[in-house]
Amino acid sequence: MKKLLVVLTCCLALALAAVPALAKDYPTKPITAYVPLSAGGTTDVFVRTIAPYMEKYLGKPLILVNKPGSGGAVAISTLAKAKPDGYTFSWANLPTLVTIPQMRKLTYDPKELVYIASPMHYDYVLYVAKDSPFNSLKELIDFARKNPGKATYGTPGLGTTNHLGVAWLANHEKVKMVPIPFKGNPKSVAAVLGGHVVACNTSTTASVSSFKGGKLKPLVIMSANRIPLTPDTKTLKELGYDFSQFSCLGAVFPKGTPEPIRKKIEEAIKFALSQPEVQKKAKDELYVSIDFLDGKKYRELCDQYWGIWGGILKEVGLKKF
Amino acid sequence: MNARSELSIAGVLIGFSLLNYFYLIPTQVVAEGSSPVYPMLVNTMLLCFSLAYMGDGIRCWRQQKKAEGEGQACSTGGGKVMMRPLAMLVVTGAWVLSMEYLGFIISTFVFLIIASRIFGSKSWSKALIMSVAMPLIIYFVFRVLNALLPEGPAEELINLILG
Amino acid sequence: MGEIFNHLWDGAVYALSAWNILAIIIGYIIGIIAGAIPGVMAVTAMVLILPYTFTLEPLFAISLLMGIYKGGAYAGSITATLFNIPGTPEAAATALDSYPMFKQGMQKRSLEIALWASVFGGTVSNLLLVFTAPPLAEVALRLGPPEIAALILFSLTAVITLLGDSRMDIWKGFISITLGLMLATVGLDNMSASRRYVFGIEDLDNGVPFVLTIIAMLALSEVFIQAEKVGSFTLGDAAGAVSRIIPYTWKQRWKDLKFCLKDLIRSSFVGSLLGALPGIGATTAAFVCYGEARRSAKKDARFGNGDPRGIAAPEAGNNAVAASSLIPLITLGIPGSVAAAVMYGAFMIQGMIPGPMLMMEHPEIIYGLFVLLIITDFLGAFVVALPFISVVQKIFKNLNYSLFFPGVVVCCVVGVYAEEFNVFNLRIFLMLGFVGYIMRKMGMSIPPFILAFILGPILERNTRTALLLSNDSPMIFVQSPIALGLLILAVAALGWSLWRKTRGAKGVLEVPEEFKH
Repeated sequence: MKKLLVVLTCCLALALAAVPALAKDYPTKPITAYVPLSAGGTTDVFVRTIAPYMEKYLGKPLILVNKPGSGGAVAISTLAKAKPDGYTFSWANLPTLVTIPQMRKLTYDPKELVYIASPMHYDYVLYVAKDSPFNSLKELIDFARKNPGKATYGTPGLGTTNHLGVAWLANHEKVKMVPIPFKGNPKSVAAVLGGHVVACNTSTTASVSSFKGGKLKPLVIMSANRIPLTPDTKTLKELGYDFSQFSCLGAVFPKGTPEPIRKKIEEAIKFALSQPEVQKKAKDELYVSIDFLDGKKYRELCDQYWGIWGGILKEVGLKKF
Repeated sequence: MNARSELSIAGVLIGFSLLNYFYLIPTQVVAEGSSPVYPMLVNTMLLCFSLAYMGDGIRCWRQQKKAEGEGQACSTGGGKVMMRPLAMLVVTGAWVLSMEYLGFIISTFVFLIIASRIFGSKSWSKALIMSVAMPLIIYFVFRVLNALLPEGPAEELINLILG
Repeated sequence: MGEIFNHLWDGAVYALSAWNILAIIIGYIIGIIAGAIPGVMAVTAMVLILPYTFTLEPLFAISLLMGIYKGGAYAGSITATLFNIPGTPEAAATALDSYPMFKQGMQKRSLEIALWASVFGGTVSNLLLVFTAPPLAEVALRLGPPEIAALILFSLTAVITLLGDSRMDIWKGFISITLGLMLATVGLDNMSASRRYVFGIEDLDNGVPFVLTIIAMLALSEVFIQAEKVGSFTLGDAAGAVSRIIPYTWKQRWKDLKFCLKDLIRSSFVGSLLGALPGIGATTAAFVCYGEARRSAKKDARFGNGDPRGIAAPEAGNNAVAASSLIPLITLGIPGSVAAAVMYGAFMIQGMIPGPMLMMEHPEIIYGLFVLLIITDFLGAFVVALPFISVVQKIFKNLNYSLFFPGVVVCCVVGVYAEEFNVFNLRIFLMLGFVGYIMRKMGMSIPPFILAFILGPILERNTRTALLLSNDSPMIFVQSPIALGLLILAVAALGWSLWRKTRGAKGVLEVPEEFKH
């Protein structure tokens, strides 16, 4: 037992002796990155696709840890408690930083975090079933106007941008459309296929297979740009609405992380995105749009959408903070 | 398990459902903006079942009193029996709480040594071998899988050695 | 029909290579080990291995994961039998009869019944997947919120058979059901995106994780129970049992097969149907099958004391879920379970999105997968599971219990941690483990609690979604003939089981052996 104690003390002493790494030769050890979603989803696969290239750029391994829960808040709250030494960062979807803090009390303040960069944004499409009588957004809205409460749409949860996007549309047109929350995008698509709801607003990946299999009809692109999956479908902007649904994936550091370290990760993300393999996989297999935003732009967009989504949250009665 | 302890359990359950009615639901459900309908429904169910349980418990208690002369149904759940489970609870709790600070390897080592004593281990050497080997094996499996366990001094040392 | 066989032939030609078969065997080994270690789920193993499939061949990667999945689906029953500690949640129902049978010295028999029932259930569901996937998926799609709610209510009535026989025990059983429903309300209320019983802790927003709860209530509480026995007599009261192992003869095997055949067939179909519906899962299927087997058996059956049907039914049921939960994934591209979601990720990593398109564009991949799936059960059982069982039995003979139980706690904690990498979960885990211990001491049975905990949220969610769709009119449950039929069935089943129970109620303080644990 005594020997053991000696060994243990030695371990401790050695560990304490290891000097903290300096910013200029960062990184000197593996970096941990939280993924706020469970393994196997689009975001997870995307992050894992770019990770090897980021490792190549940084010269040290990147350890990805899935920490799902509370719309990403569990990952970010753990991150907020981590040491700001550059060896822990988290991926975050826009709602985690923008809408969720306005909906419930959290242990972190998203505005204090250090925004690294955003590698991509999601695209959203409003679908109806193939055999649905509606062929355009206008027809759906007319139906909603004539039958208040009959126009139901599936969302992956209340307060998600999928819900808020359509809620904005309904408010703008002054019609009543009923959001039905399902557990995730695939289930909301399934509800349209089964004829339980009229429409659904979903991210592209969840709908690719059913759409290509000819079971869904796109009405409008909710996000800003047309997408290769449904090249003929117009965007909301093209239909004359001054609005587009926006959500992106980004990376954040805890409060107080030094700028040179942030810059280094930002460059690593940029480097990974410039790889043709990454671009091809994102476009052809994951159906997400690569769209690099540096830390400053990323932060500005988050601040801008804090107001936009916050306004809609207030209208639908979900804004509490 | 005798009728008296059954009655006290029923009492605790009724108490809990009242607490739920008058404190938890108003502060943790309604105040957060959630609908209280479903929690209320479930709570009412709990209250009803607990009351029924208590009713039958009282009936049972009377029967038992009558039968007591014949020396039937005696209490078993004394405090002594609970000693080791409680010790396990405390040790496991200490382990889980200290893991973040001591790291996985050291805290698990200590836990295994103490827990094997609680379970009446007679041989120090076997316990020691297992307490060293098991955390190390798990640690390396996780390392190979690129997954993280809580890190502490021992892990830092291994990192230092392996680079 | 002929077309399917053509596709199957093409698939077999495409998929049957030494490498892929090796992948299945490796996967099955990993799955059986992960599944047999209490607290470590096969799905956790799949998730941890998933990132490594980036560099593997598509079919190799998918067969590997499929092997893990299938191995894990069976392996939970091993520790359930030997220690009354189910290695996976879905083996919880199996333990009700396999542990008593083991205590009577028939460990070989109970382990083998579980294995062959798994192979049987798995194979029936594989064949259903191959031949009836599209129509079955169509049925699953048509079941909307009101129908699902009614179906869940019907499934919940299976719980009644799990309750004890005296009036006191029935009340305790109902209390345990309500406590399960209550625990399930913790977290965000999905229908209003607001919190319930969260106490300001973000980690609770997604509710108490389901695997964690089951492992805590069944495995950790068992360790506490065993801690009581230290010193008084031999741990696990196993030493006595081991000294008189009863051999399992071929004649006995044949007799058991004939005895259980009806339950095997029913459970395989019930399991496959429940598996095809998203979100219900193997644990529920196992309990429902167990309940149905018990409900249909004669009153004098030895359920709870080592009836072979009590092992065969839940094992066939939970293994039937394994293949049929892939039906929505393959036909519609909708992952219906956690494991299916991991498979979805595996496909995506390989640059394929599962769903109707993949079936049309690359039938050889999908049918190749089917062929591999069909052989997995047999290959796994003969090449991996049988040798594994005999090794486990050997280890078991000279097991040091004072080291074994602390080791179980470590495995559980590591398994729970690896699921979400959240230290907070460990605290809930420990708390629930102790609650489970107290409940068992009080004579409240855990299975009803678990079933209510799993099904309660699905029931609540679907009921409220149905009401949302109908503008709060409860007529929606009556208008759909399927929902109405299921509701009537549920009420009838509830009434009938309760009537049967109360008729048998005699001694008031009588607690059946299996619930005392």
